[in-house]
Amino acid sequence: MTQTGLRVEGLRVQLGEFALSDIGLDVAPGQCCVVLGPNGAGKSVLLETLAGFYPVRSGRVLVHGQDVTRTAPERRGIALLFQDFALFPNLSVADNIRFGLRHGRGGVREAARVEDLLRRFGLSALRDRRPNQLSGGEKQKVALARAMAVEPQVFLFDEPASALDARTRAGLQEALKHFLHETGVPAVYVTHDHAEARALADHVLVLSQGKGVQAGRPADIFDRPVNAFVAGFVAIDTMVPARLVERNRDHVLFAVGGARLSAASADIGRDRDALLCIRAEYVQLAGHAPADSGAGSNVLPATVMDAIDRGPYFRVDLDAGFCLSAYVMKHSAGELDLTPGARLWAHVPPERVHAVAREPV
Amino acid sequence: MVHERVATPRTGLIRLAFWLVGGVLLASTVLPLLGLVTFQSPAHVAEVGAMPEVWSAIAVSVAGALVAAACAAVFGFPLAYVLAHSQFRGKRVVEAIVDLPLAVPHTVAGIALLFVYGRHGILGVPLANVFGLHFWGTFAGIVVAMLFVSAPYAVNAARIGFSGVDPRLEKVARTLGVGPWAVLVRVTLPLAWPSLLTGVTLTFARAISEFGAVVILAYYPMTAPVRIYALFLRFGVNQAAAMSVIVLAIVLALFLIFRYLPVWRGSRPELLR
Repeated sequence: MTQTGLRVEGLRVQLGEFALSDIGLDVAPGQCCVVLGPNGAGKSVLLETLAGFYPVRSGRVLVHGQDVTRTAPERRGIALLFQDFALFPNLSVADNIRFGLRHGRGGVREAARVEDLLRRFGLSALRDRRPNQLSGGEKQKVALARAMAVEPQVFLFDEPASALDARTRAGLQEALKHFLHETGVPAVYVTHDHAEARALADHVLVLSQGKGVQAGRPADIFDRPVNAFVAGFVAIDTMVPARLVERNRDHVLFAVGGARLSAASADIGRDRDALLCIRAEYVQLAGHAPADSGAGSNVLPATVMDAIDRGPYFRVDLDAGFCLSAYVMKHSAGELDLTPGARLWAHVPPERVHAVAREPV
Repeated sequence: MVHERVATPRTGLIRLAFWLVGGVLLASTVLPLLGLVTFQSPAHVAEVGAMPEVWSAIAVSVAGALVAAACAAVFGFPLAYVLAHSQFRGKRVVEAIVDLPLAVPHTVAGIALLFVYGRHGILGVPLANVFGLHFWGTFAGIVVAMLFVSAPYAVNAARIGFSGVDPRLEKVARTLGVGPWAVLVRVTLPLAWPSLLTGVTLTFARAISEFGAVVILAYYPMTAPVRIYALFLRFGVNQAAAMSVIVLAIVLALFLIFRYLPVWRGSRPELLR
C-alpha cells in the first residue's frame, strides 16, 4: 500500500506519570492538522514523539508510507518548529539557515541554496543579523527557511504563534497556510487557541490528558463537540443545561430554564439531562415576531441584557428564559434596539442546537 | 530587552552605602598586594630575579597548573554535562563529592593524597610498577595535588554553562539532520563556551596558587609557592617577599590574559560554526 503524507496509528507513549494513548492522525500532503488542547494535555509530548525524541510503547508513525517509529530524529525528515523558534543565538541568519546543510561537503550548491532561501523568505537584508536583533515575525521566517533547507517530509509546529503579537499572528496564519499549500508538505500544528485552529486546520484533533477526545473536520469540532469538555474548549458561547421533554421523529424537544427549544437531533443516549450548545453566530435577532413562530420553531422572546462592542460586531447577551448569546454585525445593528432592557425576538435554528450528555462536574 | 536600573534618589543612597561596604572587601584584597609591591626595593627584586631556581620554580608552577587545568577539563567537562543534563538517583551525592575538595583543608588533602599516590600508596605502588609513574616528589605529584583542589571550579562552571543551553536548540539541530555527537560539537559546546573558559581560568588560577597539598605530596620539584616558603625559612621575609612580587606579577598577567583576551572570552571559535 502506498500512502502519502503523515500517518500515525494507535500511538502510545509513557513518560513517568504521564501517558499519551491511542493517538491516530492522517495528514495528506499540503494539509494542516491542528492538535488542540489545554496546557498539559500532552500536545508538545506528541510533537516531540513524532519527531523521535520519546520512545514509543506501541503504535506506528509513517511518513509517506515508510515506518519511522524507531528512526533517530536526524533521519526522519520531520522538521520541528518551536514556540520561540529556537534559533541558534550565536549564529547569523544566514548561518542558521545553513546549519542543516553542512555535511562536510559544502561548496557552491550549498551557498546557492542559502541565497535562494534568503530571497524566498525576504531575509536577504537581514542575512548577517543575530537572532536577538530580529522581530518575532522575522524569527519565524528564519526558522521556516532553516527547516526548508533540509527539505523535510513533514512539518511540526509547536504553538509558533504564541510568541507573536496579535497582528503578526494573523499574518503568520495566512502565510503558513499559503506556505504549506505551496510546498505540499503535511503539517501538524499544536495550539491551545481555538480561533487559531479554526483559521488553519483542515483537520482537528482535540487532546485532553494524553487522549484524543475528538477528531474531525473543523466544522465537526466547532459545531458538534462530542462532550462538555470539547464544547467549553472550542468556546461555544451558549452552553445551558436542559432536560429532554419529548423525542419525535424529526426533532427532540428540551426544557431549558423557562423556555422550550427543539433540536434537530440529540445523541445523548438514554440520558434525559443534557447540555445544549448554541454558537452565537447562528442565533438570529429580530425586532418583531416572525410570521412562523409557533411551537417547535425555536423563536423566543428575549430581553437584551448587554451588548459588547467586538469591533466588526456586537456580542449581545439575552435573557430568553435562559442566558443566550448572539452576534449582530454592525451594518445590521441599526435595525435593532440593543440597549439593555430592550425586547427582541431570537431565532435559534433547530439544526444549530447541539446536545451533549451532561457530565457530572 | 535589558532594563537598566536607573538610580532614583533613594536607591542612589542605598548604592552609595553598598559601595562603601563593598569597598572594604576590595581594599582588603588590593591593599596587601599593593603593600607587598611598594615595600620592595627594585634592586632587591632584581637580585632575587637573577636566581635561576626562582624561574625554574615559576616554570614548574605554570606548567603544573596548565596540565591540571587541562586534566580538569578533559575529565570534568563530561561529568559536568551529565550533571547538567540528566536526573538520576544519587545526583546530589555526586554533586557533593565534586564540591568536597573545597571544604577539605589543603594539608589534609595532601596527607590523603599521600596515602593514595605516595610510595606505599594504594595507587602509587601499582602505577609505579606498571607504568613507572611516580608521584612522590615528582611533577606528576604536583599535578595530582593541584587537580584535587582545583577540579571543582572546572566542573561547576561547566555545569552552569551546559545547563544554560536550551535543550530545544539541541532538539532542533537533530531534526535538521545532525547526529547527537555533531550536535554536541556544533550546538552545545559553542553555547557553553564562555562558561567552559571561565572554568578553565578559575581552575588554572586555583591550581597555580596551591601550596598545602603540593608541599606534602611533592616538595620537590619546587613550585613557586613552595620556593617562596623555602626562601622564607632559609633567608627570612625579605628574600621571600622579593620573589613574591615576581610571582604576583606573572600570575596577574596570566590571569588578565585568560580573562580579557577577546579570543578567549566573548567570541566563540569559528570552527564551531
